[in-house]
Amino acid sequence: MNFLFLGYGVIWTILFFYLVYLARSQKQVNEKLKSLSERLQKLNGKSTFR
Amino acid sequence: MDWLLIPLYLLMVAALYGALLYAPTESEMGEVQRIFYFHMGAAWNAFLAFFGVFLGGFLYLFTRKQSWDRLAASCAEIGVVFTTIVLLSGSVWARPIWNTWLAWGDPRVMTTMVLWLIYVAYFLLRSSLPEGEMKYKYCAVFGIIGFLDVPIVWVSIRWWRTIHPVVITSSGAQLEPEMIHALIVSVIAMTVLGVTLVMLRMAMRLNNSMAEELVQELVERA
Amino acid sequence: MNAITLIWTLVAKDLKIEWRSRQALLTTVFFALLILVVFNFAFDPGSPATREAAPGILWVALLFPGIIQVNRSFQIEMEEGTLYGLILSPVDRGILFLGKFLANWLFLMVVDLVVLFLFLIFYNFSLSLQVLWIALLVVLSGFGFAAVGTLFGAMVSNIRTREVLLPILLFPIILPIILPAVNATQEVLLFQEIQSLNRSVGFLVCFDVIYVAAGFLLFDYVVSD
Repeated sequence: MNFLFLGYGVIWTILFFYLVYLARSQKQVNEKLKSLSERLQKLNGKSTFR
Repeated sequence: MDWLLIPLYLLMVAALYGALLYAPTESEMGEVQRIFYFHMGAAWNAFLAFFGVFLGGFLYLFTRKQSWDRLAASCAEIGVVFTTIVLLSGSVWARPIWNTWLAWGDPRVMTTMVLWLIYVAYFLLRSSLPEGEMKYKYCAVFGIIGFLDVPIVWVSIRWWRTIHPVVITSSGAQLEPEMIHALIVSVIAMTVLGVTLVMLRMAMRLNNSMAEELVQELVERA
Repeated sequence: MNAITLIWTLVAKDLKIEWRSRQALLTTVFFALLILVVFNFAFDPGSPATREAAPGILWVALLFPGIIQVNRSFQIEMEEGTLYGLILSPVDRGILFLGKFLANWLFLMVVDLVVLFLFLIFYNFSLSLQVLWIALLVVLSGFGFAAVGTLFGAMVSNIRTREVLLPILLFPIILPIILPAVNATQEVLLFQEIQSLNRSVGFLVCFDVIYVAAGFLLFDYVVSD
């Protein structure tokens, strides 16, 4: 019975950590884009990115 | 891709209900058998994702469009996650039933293990190469070779390992009709999850490469 | 120049290079010998369990020199820059592959047969005619190994971590050869029966055909920069 919990726990833990990894990657890309748009703003005077 | 999210959520809830409550308890193995529903869903997706790696690589070599490489890489990522789930959930299931964590000698177990090794090798190859056409080409070649290998591994183990008396029958007893329902829902749910994750990951890679291009432009301007 | 002549020229070139400084050949054979000795230390050679494990030991001892050789064959090209010369020539890349792969295979055959001989002596197996069957297995499995190895060897020649990456890429792919090879070796050495070899030989032949074809078709992508 305990193994059942362990089994499901394993599955969901792995999926959870993967989603955390994805969220973190996403955040990194967004931060990069933000800093890029700031840099462009400084160069151009206006930003073409959201 | 957001339109997938609501069906995905509903399917997952249905799958959980099906696996944990709706399906009857298996007579021989008891409650532990319920791991099987998601274990199968993950296994099916692990191999489907591998086909995605093959397809992405093959089409990349054909068309040289980077979006195919993004498909291959994203499928590889999701594939390795699902293969890990299959191996670990399988081990947890195996321990109380067969009294061993890993059933060496069962062709499915060993083939999945080799699949996992090929996935990891794929990523190590990817990370050793700088971005660019060479990386995509090399990974595509490895993906194709790897895909050819998996059925060969299966046959090889089937012919030369299953002789040993650790023969394991598929899911033990016959499947009750309710179990089949639960299984189908689980597999569909996991597949939708897999597809959503692949699409998500592809979009992320696209964003990443667009960001890289912007960096290049900036560097050139400054 | 037709294809066969081309391939022969390529093979001869590589083999001549190896023969001039026999150093590579000798060091590879010596390395394989060392592995056999290490196994002798690791496993008690007198015990019956080791005798049962011996076929496995043979194939592991054959594997590692193979990896080294395949790695080295492109390393030389990289160091001398001759790879670019080959690529720029109007030779079909598939032919290049066949030339390189056959040269690697022939080199490996020399090493492997010496290892086989030493193995039989170390582990006290009689040198009967049955041993020729094992030699056949070595030849066949070496063929497939050399094919995939040459393809991957070319791939990793550009990469810094090639020494460790090549085995990581290569081992999962050649795992399916190990089972029939070891099993058949077991049959010959321990049980002295050769009827069941058909399947192993057939399987190895299929493996070889598939991967030589794959290498032939894919080599172009690996080598064109």
